[in-house]
Amino acid sequence: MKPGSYVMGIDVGSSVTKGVLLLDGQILSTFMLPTGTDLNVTAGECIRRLLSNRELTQKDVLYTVSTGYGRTQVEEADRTITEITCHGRGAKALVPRAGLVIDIGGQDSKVIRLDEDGMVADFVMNDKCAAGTGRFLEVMAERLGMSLLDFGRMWKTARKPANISSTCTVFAESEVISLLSRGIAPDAIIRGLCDAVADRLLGMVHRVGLVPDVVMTGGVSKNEGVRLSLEKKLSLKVVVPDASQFAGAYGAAIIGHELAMRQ
Amino acid sequence: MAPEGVKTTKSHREIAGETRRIKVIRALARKSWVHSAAKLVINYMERRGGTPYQINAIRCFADDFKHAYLREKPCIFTSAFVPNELIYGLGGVPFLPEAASGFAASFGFAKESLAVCESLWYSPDLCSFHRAGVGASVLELAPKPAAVVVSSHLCDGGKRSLYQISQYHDCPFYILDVPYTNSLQSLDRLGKQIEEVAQSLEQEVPGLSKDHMDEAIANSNAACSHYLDLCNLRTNIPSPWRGREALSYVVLFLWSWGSPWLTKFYQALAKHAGDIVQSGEYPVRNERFRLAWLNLRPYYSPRLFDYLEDECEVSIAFEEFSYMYWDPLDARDPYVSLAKKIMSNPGWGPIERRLEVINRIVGEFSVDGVVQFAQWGCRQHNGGASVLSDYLRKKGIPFLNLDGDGVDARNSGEAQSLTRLGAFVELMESRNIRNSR
Amino acid sequence: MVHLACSYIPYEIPLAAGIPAARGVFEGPLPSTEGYLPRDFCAYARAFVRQYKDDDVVAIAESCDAMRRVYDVLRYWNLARTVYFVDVPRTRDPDAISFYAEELESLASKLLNSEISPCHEFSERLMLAINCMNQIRKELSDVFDLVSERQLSAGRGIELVVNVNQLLADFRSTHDAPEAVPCLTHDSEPGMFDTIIERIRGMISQTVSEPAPLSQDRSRIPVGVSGTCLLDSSLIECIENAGLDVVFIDSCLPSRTYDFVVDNKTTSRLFHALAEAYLSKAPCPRMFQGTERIKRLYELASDHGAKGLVYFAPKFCDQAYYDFIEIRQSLKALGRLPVLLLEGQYGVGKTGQALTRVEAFREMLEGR
Repeated sequence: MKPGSYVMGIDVGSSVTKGVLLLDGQILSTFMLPTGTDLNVTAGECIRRLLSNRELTQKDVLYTVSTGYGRTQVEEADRTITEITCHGRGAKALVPRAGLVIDIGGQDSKVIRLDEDGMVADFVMNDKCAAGTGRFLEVMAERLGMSLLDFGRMWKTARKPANISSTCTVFAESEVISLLSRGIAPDAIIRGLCDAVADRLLGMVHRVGLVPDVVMTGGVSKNEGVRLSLEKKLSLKVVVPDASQFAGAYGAAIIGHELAMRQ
Repeated sequence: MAPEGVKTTKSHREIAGETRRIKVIRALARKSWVHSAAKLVINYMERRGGTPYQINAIRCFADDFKHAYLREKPCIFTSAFVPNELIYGLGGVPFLPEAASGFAASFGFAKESLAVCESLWYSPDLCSFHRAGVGASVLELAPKPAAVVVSSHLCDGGKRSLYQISQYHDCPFYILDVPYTNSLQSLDRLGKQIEEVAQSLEQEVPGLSKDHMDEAIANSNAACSHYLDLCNLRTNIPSPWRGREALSYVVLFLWSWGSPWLTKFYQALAKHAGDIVQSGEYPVRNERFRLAWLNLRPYYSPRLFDYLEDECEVSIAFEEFSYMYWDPLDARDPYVSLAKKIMSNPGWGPIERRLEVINRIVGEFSVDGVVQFAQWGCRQHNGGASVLSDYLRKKGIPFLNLDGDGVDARNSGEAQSLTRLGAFVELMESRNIRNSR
Repeated sequence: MVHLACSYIPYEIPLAAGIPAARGVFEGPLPSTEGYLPRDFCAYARAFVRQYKDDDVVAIAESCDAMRRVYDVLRYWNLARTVYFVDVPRTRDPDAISFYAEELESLASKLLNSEISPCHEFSERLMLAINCMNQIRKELSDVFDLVSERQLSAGRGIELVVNVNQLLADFRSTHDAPEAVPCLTHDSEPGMFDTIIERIRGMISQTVSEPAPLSQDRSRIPVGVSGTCLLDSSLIECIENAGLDVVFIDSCLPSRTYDFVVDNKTTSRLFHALAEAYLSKAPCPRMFQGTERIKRLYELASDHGAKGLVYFAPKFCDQAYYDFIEIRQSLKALGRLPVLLLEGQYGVGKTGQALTRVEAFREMLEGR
């Protein structure tokens, strides 16, 4: 592989498509956009924007790896790798001491345990319903009439969490309504919701085994409330790298870089 | 390397569900002074005029728990429908993890038990009574079993979860493989199995002896006689006992046959019901409707019953799990007698047996409607919903299949349940209006 | 025909009674059973609840809570002409075997006395049926040896088993005089069973001789598959498409149906021989036979060099849920053999969720 080679990782998630462009293994640029109905078009747009930002074309790219639930829809991809492996690799690259990766996306959540070399040692994935995912939090935020960005601030002002038992979107929504009608403060409800999501994740974490450092990736990693609840329940710090949303795409690009090197 | 069964390491306990209160409860349960103090408190409650049947129920468990936690007697874990006369008859104390889950939920610490199970890969689609039972064992909230005895009726989760508990504690496991058809051949096979289990327990578990069998059978029959008095009193309109309580005390019905305390409990309870009938101080005074309640109830929240009994003035006249389905036991032939008891369970065998009992309950207790609490993950009961619904509809009895979970609040939508119960009461009302026209 | 719900109900009995029989193998889309069974019932149980043809009868085993309810529902709603119930013990002690022998004898007598049986005499035919099934099992077992040696794709193996199952349902068409379907005389009896075996041999040689779609890439990682019921072949195809080689399948349709022999030496106690053989075959997760299941899986994995195990649990199958917990912990402790859990309905292998998990599992195994 010649110096000056570009490699790309594209993560087509259920809500957001992310792209990472590497130059000689280093992140050159990133881009993300909402995943539309046509995954191929969205992925193409992501790639185009990623490259045009640097005045490059697809021809300049040596290798492309796609990941995410729409990974097979990326025409430009030389190889597809699952989001589990990619999130593991991406998180390890972002946080070298990472032992456990918690990835919560729009419609699924996964917990990945890494071995010392950063390879996936075990994983568990939940995508049966929207319970405890980004979509769940969106619906709840909508019901409370606030933004997801407020969750962290509200979590901190809550004196104690309201008791919300379910992460089923339908059940939890009626629990929230009932709590509001009983005059429970929205910040307590938010903390209760974050706790419920964390409880659900906790089960998954213990299934694969807790190994510090714990790294959170995916869209929900930016939700400070969930991170705080998780930290409290795990009694340890949860690292959220700046590029946490790009962990999957970054992991894909790193694998692409390695594969290109072998060529 | 010789393969072994499930070996759940202690580390599982350490990492999930191990909250401070769990540690405290676990430690306290094993302190003899706690049991002595509990005895003093119960005596004090009695002196201060506590309700006798409640005092007896507490004594029944306090006594068993003391023997089990302090290892004064061998504690044998059993699944919900094993006739525990067998365990008392061997001089042991039974412990029912499934029933204990209800306790855990009532006292608000089922959450940790469920969490520990989740970390051990137990699917949340499994019945929570079983999951919480395993969780309580892994967290060692439950006492340590000397052996585990299960029967293959009524449900798969019961026997499977107890098998896993036996593996966790590395103790002997026995299964009574209950034949499906009630025949002489089945009775013979089951009777033999019970006898063999009794013999094995006597040999394997120090401290067990069949010497107590006559006494246990006599206790069971005596309790049965008082229980039938109670059932008779419960046919009274209005109902002399709150259904929510009855659904909580179902635990004794599952647990304590063969214990001397059960006789005292039912005797006191029958007296209590008799007094209510005499005095007219009914718990639901203006009883508008009477329900038969199938399966169990949510144990973590009384909200459904506050609504039903207090707001809607609807009584639960009788419960499916309170139905006395066996004949008095014969001390001369205890094992076949216990086999007969098992085989008489209306939940076992073709569904017609269950329908017949529900029909009897509807008639004997003058029931206006039937509610089945559709416990999440209970294939045994829920699978009959379509048949039950049609059967009762043909008889003109309103039926509600109420989705919920008795232990795991996450599987229940309380608001949805209340709406459905409300609509069901309205349905009974409109039916009454129609009938009175 | 007789629709058999469980691998513990011997094919031999309907076959001897001259009635075609097959295990319930369904391919989606399935008829809607909404209203008969709740939605939290496994897909296999739900698939069994359907309106059967006039001539069809159903034999349900006491497999699990769900199948007991299927038995109730089929009868209550008159969905099949007759529904038989076979009480399968969970242990295999001598009493259990005797009990099961009587249970099988009772099933045979009911089938023989039913309108759909053309036979009136049974005992000699039972021996022939046992011999026939022993032969079929042996041949299928040999085919799956090829799968284990990675000379044949497991997907093709499953396809073959499904076709053999179908043939047993249509065996009348294999006979020269299908319309009469008499209780075959001594002369023609061997003819019928021989024709079945011959047809199956034809199927097998076709499967084995056709260009195998199996990749010759020896770097593909070998894995085993286990579970209660595989539902359909899509899962195996999914695993193979994800780049893994399936070297054994421990499930009720293929291996636990053919991987045993019924003792045919004692002619006087054939039902006993059947009961003993069926209760002694590789145990299903519903059985209580100590650690035998785990031991067997561990041996299968060791013998065939499996690097991992894919465990399939039909969604809401309690037996599988409990079995998986035990298998995962034990195999992990024994040989650090990773186990992947997949849950699903019919067509699970065609879903993106299943493919993602299996591919991630492969990537994980590759990284080891």
